[in-house]
Order: sequence, then structure tokens, then C-alpha cells
Amino acid sequence: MQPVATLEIGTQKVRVLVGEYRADNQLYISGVGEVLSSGVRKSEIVDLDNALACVKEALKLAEQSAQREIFEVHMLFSGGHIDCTVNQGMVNVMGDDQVITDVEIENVMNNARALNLPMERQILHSICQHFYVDDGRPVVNPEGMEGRRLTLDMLCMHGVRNRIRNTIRVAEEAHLDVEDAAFGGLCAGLAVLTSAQKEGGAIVVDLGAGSTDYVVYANKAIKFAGSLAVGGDHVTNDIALGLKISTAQAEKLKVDHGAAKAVPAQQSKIIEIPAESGFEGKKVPLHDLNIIIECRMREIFEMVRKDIEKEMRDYQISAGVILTGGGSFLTEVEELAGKHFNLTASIGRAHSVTGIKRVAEGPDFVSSIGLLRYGLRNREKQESSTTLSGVFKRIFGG
Amino acid sequence: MFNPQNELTKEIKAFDLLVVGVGNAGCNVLSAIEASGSEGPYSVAVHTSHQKLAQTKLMRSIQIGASVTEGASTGGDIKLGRICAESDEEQLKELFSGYKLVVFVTGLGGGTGSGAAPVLVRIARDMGCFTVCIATLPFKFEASDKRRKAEMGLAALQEQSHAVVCFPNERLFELLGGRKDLKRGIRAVEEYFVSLVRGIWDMLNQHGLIHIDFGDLTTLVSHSDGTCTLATAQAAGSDAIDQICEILLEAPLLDRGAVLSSASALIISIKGGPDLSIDETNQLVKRLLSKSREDVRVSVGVTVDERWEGRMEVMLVASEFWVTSIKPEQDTATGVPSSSEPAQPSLVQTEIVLDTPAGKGKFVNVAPTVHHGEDLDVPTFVRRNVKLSRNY
Repeated sequence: MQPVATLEIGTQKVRVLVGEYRADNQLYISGVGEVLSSGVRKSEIVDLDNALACVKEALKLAEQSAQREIFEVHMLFSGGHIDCTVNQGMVNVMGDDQVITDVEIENVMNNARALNLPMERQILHSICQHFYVDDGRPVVNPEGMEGRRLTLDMLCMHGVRNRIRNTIRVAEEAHLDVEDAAFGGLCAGLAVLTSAQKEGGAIVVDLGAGSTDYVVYANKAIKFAGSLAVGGDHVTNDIALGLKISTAQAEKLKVDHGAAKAVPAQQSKIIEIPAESGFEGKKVPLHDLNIIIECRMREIFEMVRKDIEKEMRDYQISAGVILTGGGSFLTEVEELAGKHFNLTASIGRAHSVTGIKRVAEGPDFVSSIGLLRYGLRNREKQESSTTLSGVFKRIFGG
Repeated sequence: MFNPQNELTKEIKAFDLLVVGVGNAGCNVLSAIEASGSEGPYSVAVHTSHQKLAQTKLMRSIQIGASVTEGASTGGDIKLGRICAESDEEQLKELFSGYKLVVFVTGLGGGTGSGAAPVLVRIARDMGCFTVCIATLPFKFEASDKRRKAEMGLAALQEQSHAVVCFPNERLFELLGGRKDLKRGIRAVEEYFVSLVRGIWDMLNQHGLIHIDFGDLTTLVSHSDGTCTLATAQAAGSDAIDQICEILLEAPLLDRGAVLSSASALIISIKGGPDLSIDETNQLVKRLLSKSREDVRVSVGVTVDERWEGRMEVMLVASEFWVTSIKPEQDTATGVPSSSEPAQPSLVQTEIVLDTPAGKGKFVNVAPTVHHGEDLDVPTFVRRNVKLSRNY
């Protein structure tokens, strides 16, 4: 199979990855291009020209590293405007034998995907949760079963049309065809969760710079997903405002010394911010820094928890909370998350990935890796099955 | 030409406040004010288009750039708008001279609004006037080119004027209530503008029982970063207070109460009839402030007008960020608790109060993230009133 390329226009970094499947279902990362982003705030593009320049640069680096040209990409989407809705579709099973075939499956999928959205929103992608044959128990694949009626719960991710269009436009201006798009939180889940974890129930929180994405898995399906337009950038901004230092100094302070928990013992530990031109240096108690960080992180977890309260009540989440994204580098962030959700919390790593080590092992590349899997899986389906190919049709044309 | 200049300037100078309508939208608002008949602020319409000025039939108007466009409009050319204003600089200087406060009303996106208005503001400022701009951005469905121009115009206005009141599209759209009828929609926006201009006029020019003067406004503006939000509400009857609170706390232009809860400084101007009681005033202020920050600075003005028996009008000016630290004064401090959750005891360490609330830093020019009435771009520790060991 041809390698797949992904493009993530993130708030902090623009990333292009190239990957393909190797033996034993291992994902092999063959190319990477990563540059600091410009023109993106809160996961939304605010300056098309700057964002385009970054995309072109990242693309060039990835092409060099993969030693191939990239024409088509899968794109990662994030941002507070993205929401999910579960829509139910239903069809009657035709034929005398009432055996469910791919025709019924395709029909019910189309039916469930036809979600009524306000004018300004559009569907990003849709994910099957469960099929039901008549009024039976939920099943993952109903093909070949007998029944009169086939029902499907479809989780539709949708966002503001203009913002989605803006992001796609940047890719198009960089002469890339957008093959498909997927939500960042979902991709993070695809990359880090094993099937046992998906079955047992898990919450994946992707702590990005511009937004915090989350998905809840239970009984092998995604039950809920969403995104908040708050992230690591807010932490940095809070530090800069609180300690009256520049954003660059705040970012460095956060990365070098920051922790998600403030304890009184840190009161006596003083960190020195070195002098630079126009700045005469500053001494800051570590405790103050961490108070600022803890307040923000606590609030982010509180908001996620509030959004998924129902799912946490209704399903068992035995695999706990899994944190991904740049924010998971923060010291003690998993302790804070664990305490907040009252579940075990851990940092997620992509599994079954080889190739460029920095990419395969870093929690900040997780969602792009998930997107590679998503892209490869879609392509596999297109190539192997002619019957379902119509279902995975391209969203944005090619 | 409608330019009886000498008479005009003499007449206006009796007052300290001048309202200038710039471009089409500005002229329309002024016409609406004049059409409403009653006493109002002195206003002058400024436009490049001779035809538009003739149409609006305003008492006082100035045509700019006659030597440049020969009486035509700028056709959406910002540069041309700028040149037009610059070409008549002397005439404009004379217009502004002697005023304390000049309020500009304009719609951004066209050549006159985006190009000429910033020049007018600069000239007014050079003449020692305090300048406030009230501007609208184009509708969402208008061409992106026009929107880009509007953004450029807004940036230029913000650079030049003391204060800019600008309504984001989303808030205006909510104000229109999703009305499909464009004409009525635009009228609704215009009417709202009229009530704002009139509100400022009333606030500053009527001698109230508790008076808000020009100083209060300048203090508010000069200590904020120059971005203010205005809203007005009127109601009659025994439940007037409830109605007004409901309107203001739900007002789209105040982002459904989010502005109230994040504002660092507020002016509340109340106008009522002789039946307005102290208790009512108190109750109203308390309710409006029920969600605001603990450290918010409030100035309250009360005006009583015989003709307002049984009616009440409230005008609210909110400044979203307070930049310079000023020690709270007796008459401006209130002690209404904030809505945010009590701070975690483990985090409260020391005594020194953070008396310079931080603003929004890098998020100052992007659409705010508002969640249940809280502006999430403002640091969490500020909103939750968690203290740091000292002031930085």
C-alpha cells in the first residue's frame, strides 16, 4: 500500500508525517516535517499567509525526510467549535430471507449520517458506534445476521464550516489534495488505545497548545467527544501575565520548571529569570509559578469532566484517563488528572509504531500518528472492498 | 454645498460634546437622531459623497475631499478616503477646535469609514479632544474584501482614538434576533446606535442627582486598553428593574453577561422619573453587579427627569481591561462577591492582594473563549482570586 501523509496545523507546531504499514501491522514513520507555527490561535487559523508559509516549510522538510513528494494529505482538526452529536439511522431489511447484507449496512450508515445541522456547520466525519438488529443487544458488525430492522447509532463530529474551510484552504494553497479529515481527539485515541482499553472504557484527553480535545471510549465504541478552546497557550499566557514576563520567558519557565501541582514546600525555592535586553532579570518563587499552572490545569480538567459527566456515570472506565499532547510533558499532570477524574491516569504513547524515534515515542506526535492510522485504515478499506468503498467516500473531494 | 461653516462652528461650540457621523452608516445614524425630534447632541455628518449628504438632509454636514473625488463617493477605496480627509484637514481642525469630547459614529468596511474616519480621529486628537469611536463591522455575508478593509479600519481607529466601541458580528447578529428581513435588521442596528449616542449625551449633559461627568468617562477609558462596550435598556412599569436586569444581563452586545462578569470598570447611568427611589437604585445596581468581579470599579450616575415618571433607562459602559493600577476610592468601590468558586484553601498563601488584575495578554485580539459567562482567556488564578506571594 502507498504511504499516507498527514498534516496538522497546530497552534504551536505545524507537522507533516509520512507513514506506511510494515509487517505485523507495525506503523512505520518514514518522514517528518515539523516547524513552529505562526498565524494560529486556539487551533484556528487567524493569518492565512503565515500559516501557509509554515505548511510549505513543514511539507518541504517532510518530503526531504521521506524522500518522496507529497500530493495528498489527511488533515487533523481541532478547536473549540468542534462538537459531536449521536444520530440514529434505521432501515428495514429487504429480501425474503431477511439476512442483513452490505446493502442494508450502507443504507443505514447513509441514513444515520444525514444529520440536520445549522447552516453554518458541517460534518467533519462520522463514526459508527453500534448496530442494533431489531431490538436486540448492540453489535459491532451485523452482516449476515437475520432481522427485520437494522438500527445504527452514528457519532457525527461537526464544526463551523468557515473554520474548516479556512484550514483546508491553506492545504490547498500549498498544492495539497485533502483526502480526508479527522478530529484530533479521536486520532489521539486511535494511536494510544489498545482494543482491551477501548472495551474496558477509557478517557483520552489530548492537551494541545490551542485546544484540549477529549474522547470517551466504552464498550469498544466512542461514546462522546469534544474540544475546548483552552490549552497550553493559556497556561503560558497566564504565567506571562501573572509574573509580568514575556510569553517566550513564560513558555521557557513552564517547560523548564513548571509542574501541575503547587505545594507549600516550593515556597522557598526561587527560580531566576535571566536578564536580557530591556529586561533586568527577575526572581520568582516556584510556588507562584505552579499556582498559576495548577489553577489553569485544574480548570481544564474540571471543564472536561463536566462535559463527560453523563458518560462517566453510565459506563465503566476501567482503563482510566490517558493524557496525550504537548501538555502531557508537564510534571505531575497525570497526578492532577487522576485526582480530578478519580480514575487512574497515565501518559499515552502510540503503540506498534517504528521508524523515526522522536516521532514514534513522543506524546506530542500522538494525534498525528493516530491520523496516519486513520488514513491507512480508510485506504485499506477502499482498496480491499469494492462494496463499502462508497461509504468511505472523500469528504472534501480530491 | 452644505457648508455654512462659520455659523455652524459658532453654534456648536456652546457645548462640549460633538457627535460626528462618518460615511453612510454614520450619516444614517445622525439622520435617525434628528428624525427622533427631541433635543440631542450637536452632530455633524462627514462624507465624501455630495449625493449622500444631500439625501440625508441633515442640518449640519461637511463634505470632504471635494477636490479629490469631485463629490463622488470613494467607491470603497480606503486610500482615497484617507486622502479626502487629509485634503480638508484645515476645515476639520476648525470643526473640532474647542470640544472636550468628540464621538465618532461610523460603519467600517467602506472607503470613508475605514479610510477617512481614522484621519478625522487623529485631527480631533491633535486638537486636544477626547475621542470615542462607535463602529460596526460589516455583516457576515458581505464580501471578505470588505471585512478585511473593516479590520484594517478598526486597527487604525484603535491606534488613533482614546476609546473604541466596536461590536463584533456575532453580538450584532444576536441583537437582530436572526431576523431575515435585512432592512429591518439594519434599522434595528441603527436604532441601537441612536440609543447609545443619546445615552452618552444624556449621561454627560444632564445634571443628575448623582452626577457622572466627563472625568468619569475619561478615567474609565484611559485606564482600560481603549476597548469599551456599551449597552442601554429601557423599561416601564412596576417590574422595570427586573426587565432592565434581564435585558442587560442577556444583552448580546454584552456577550450575554460575559462582559459584565469580566469587566474591570463600569459606568452605570440611571435615568428615571421623580418616583425613582433610593431603594430601587440600590437594588438595580446590586443586581447588575451580582456577577461582576470583586475588584470592579463602578461609577453610578442617577438623573431624574419629570417626563420619565414610571419609566427607567439604564446605560452601561464597560471596559474590559483595567491596565493601570489605581487605588480604589470610596465612591467607586463595591463589595459584591464574585461568582467564581472559592479558592482552594491549599492555594491561598499570603496576604498581599493582587490589585492589578491581569488582562488577556496574547488573546487580546482574538475571539474570546466564553464558557458559562466566564472569559476563559483571563487567567484562571485571576478569575478565582487566588493570591500570589507578591505583586509582580
